[in-house]
Amino acid sequence: MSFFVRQLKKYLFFEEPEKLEKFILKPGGRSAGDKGAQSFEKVREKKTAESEKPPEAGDEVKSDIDANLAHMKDVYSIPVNSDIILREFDITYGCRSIRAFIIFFDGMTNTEVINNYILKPLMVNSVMPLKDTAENLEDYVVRQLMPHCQVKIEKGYKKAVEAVNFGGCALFVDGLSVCFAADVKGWEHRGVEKPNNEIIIKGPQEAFNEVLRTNCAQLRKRLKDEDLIAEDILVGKVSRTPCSIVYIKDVANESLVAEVRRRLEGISVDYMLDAGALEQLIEDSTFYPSPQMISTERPDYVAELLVSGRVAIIVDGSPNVLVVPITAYDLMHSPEDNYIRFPYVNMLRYIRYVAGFLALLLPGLYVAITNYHHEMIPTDLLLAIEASREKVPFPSLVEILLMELSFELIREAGLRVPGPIGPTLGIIGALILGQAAVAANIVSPVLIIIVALTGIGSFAIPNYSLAYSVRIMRFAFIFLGALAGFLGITVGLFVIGSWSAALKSFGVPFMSPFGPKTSGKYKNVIFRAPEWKMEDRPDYLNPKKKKKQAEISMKWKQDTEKKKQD
Amino acid sequence: MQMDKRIKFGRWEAIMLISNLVCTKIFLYFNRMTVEDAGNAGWMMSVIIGAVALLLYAVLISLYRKFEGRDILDIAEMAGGKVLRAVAGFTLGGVLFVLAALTMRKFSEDIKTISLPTSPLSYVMAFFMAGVVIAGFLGIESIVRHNAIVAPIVTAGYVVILLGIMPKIDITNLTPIFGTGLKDIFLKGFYRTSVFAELLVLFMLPPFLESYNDVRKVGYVSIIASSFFMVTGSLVYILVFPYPSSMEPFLPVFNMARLIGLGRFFQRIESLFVFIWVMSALIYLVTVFFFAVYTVSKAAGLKYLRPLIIPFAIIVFSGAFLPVDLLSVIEIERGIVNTWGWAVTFGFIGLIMFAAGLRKRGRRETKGK
Repeated sequence: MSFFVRQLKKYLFFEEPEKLEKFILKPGGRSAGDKGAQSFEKVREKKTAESEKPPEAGDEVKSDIDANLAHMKDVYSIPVNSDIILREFDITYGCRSIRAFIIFFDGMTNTEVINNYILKPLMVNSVMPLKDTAENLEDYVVRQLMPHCQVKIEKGYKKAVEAVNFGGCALFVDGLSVCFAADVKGWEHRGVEKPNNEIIIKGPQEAFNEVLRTNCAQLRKRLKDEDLIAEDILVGKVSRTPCSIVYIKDVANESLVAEVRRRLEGISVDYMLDAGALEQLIEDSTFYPSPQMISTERPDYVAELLVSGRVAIIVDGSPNVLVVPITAYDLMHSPEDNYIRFPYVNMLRYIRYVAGFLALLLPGLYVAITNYHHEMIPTDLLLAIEASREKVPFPSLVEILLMELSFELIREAGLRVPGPIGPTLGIIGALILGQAAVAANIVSPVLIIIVALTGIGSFAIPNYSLAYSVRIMRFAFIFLGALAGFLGITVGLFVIGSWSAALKSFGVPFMSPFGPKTSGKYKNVIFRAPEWKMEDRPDYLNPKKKKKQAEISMKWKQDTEKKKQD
Repeated sequence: MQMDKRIKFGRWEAIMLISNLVCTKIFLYFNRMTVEDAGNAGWMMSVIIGAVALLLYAVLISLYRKFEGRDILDIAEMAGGKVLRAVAGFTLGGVLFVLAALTMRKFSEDIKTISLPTSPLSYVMAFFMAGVVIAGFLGIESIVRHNAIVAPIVTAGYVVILLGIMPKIDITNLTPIFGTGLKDIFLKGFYRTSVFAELLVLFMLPPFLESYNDVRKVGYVSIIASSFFMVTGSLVYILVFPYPSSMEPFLPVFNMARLIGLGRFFQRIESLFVFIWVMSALIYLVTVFFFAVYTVSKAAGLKYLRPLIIPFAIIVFSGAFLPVDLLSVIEIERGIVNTWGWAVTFGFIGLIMFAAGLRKRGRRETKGK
């Protein structure tokens, strides 16, 4: 209640607006306005400085092994914590025996790797007479005793603990004021499987899984480009969830990348468990019904969007990857659009727009026409509708609300019940309920057609989140249609249109390239041009490289024509 | 809301904005007015209106050349200090408020007649007002962008109506070719340039456009495009409804849409016309209303205009009820707005620019000495 009072107050009484920083996507790809403060080179320098930064006072690893042991036991609440493993042993260095210990989480690490490539060389190989090339113990351990590919020397406890928490193994050696963090992740996870929600007929059949690096690799597998950058950021004070900002260095607009980085760094939460939660924390408008970024489980789709100059955000533990920025029209595109021929894709897009229209407006239009605009219905049809409604006791608004709510119930119940029963419940529920409602004269048969068409229409919308927003807005349009017929519906469309026009997704106007009109060519907005015509990247993204392919991408055709002329 | 100095929009958006402001009256009574003024030579009168508007605009824009990037209030300040700035702001803002109130009343009355005969007028008007207030809160960027999307759709709908009515055209309706006479065509054609009264919004736009060249082009293209639709509209209207029965329909385009029949099944598609009509009206109302608030707030030197939206919306809403009935509204519009509107848009604004130009030259000469 207090929320509504606050909102009402906001519109009735004047308050000096907060000076929120408005993000503007700078033209030309580079962040020219801020003298390169966010440029890629600057960020690189900053990251290098961060990695070389000495640990804070009190956080330094001690040279006394007992002090390190006590600290790590304290940090990991040993022995209360039962899945943390602390293994003490001795390393032979010259003719001395030196105490050491490793610490790692059971279940999160690959014990085989630890045994064979960390413990065995340290405990067994150190006894063997090795060629003495190392200058000191630190060198000796790293260069000769740890035949593992990923070992980092850390000077502070925090970094060591971070590594252990993310499936690493930390090695502490007596007399060394550093520790060695080896990446030995080995937790159980799902493999790369078929996409569950974004099913297509043609095209790749691989989906992201819950592992950050596997997901990064899925993208690298498709874009074999050294300029593809995966920049890591930890989100969540407690969960310390690793997130990767992925972009193509020489394509994506630097100010856009900086803005994504700024928003991720600006999140202050304890836990970040999924991309869905992150989406809500970085989107531009909370109350706008449609999603303002693409959330997809398809690496091929993300790769395509990265090539166009967008930025992807991968969240560890989430099989969905977020892509920003987007426009309203992108939400009606399907990954399959890239893999099927030009005439088919345009027919499909046309059908999708019709589906979107039906899903959003059909019930509202039905209510408006039956209540206010009877004259629109041809006489024969009007008679048929009236005859079917003759025995129905409810007004059309109640009738449609009843059926729409029943339909939403069936849909929600179908999702919650165990796998094989879901679709059966849906079909039986819809069939029986519809048939029985008509037989009982609660609703008219025409209305069953309307509700069914609306439902099918919402299923044809390619973006899952957009389908949700359409479902919500549909109810608003039903009420508007009941309140004022076509006038109400048009006012609703006007308001949602104005809202959309005011909205931005990471600096890109949501309704571009039509509102505002951008100078780029509209080759993949509502309809899609043939593959060989798609030379340009979207102008509204202000990418560093405007062209995606050569003006004449089918050079063979030109060559054939030349040969013919010769 | 503080007007963000970084807000800029392109030529296309500005052209759509101005064209829609001028063309919305085609959906109301414009065609009938041309017939009442010049008989079945109404379309010729539309040509004259367009030509005179172009001519007057050419004079205005040549006067404006020296004031690139400034809007009419800044120019007024140059001409007569803060006093003239306030006078100009309140005059132009007042004109826009009157236009908003009258148009809202007309559209609401018409919608009530067509679709919602049993609903009270205030109920219908509340829907328009709700749309205007919400869009007003969303700001100028939203208004302009939405305009750029909606205006082409509305135009397409209008063209469909014109094409759909083609089978009903009778070329003999054009005779006598000069209608009620050349005097009516030219004289009334001159002062009916008042239908371009909304062009005054263009002189509030320069801070949002890139250059003088943009302002110049936006004006010319908008006048030409609007004139084209006005001429085709009145021509088709005259070709469909013979004179003098063409003076009877009180909603000419709606009546044209009513005549469209596509086979036995699709006989009454005029209700679909309500969509483009209401959309066009809403875009018009929000633009005029927003610029009215903007002009007044700028004239008063206010930093934020958002707090003014609801109070001014209430004023417009109440003002729309002042005329007794629809006929009074039409009378005010015909007798005052469409007869003397040119004096504000071309006369008043022209005078301000002329005075500012003289003052600027005077200052330069004094400096030179």
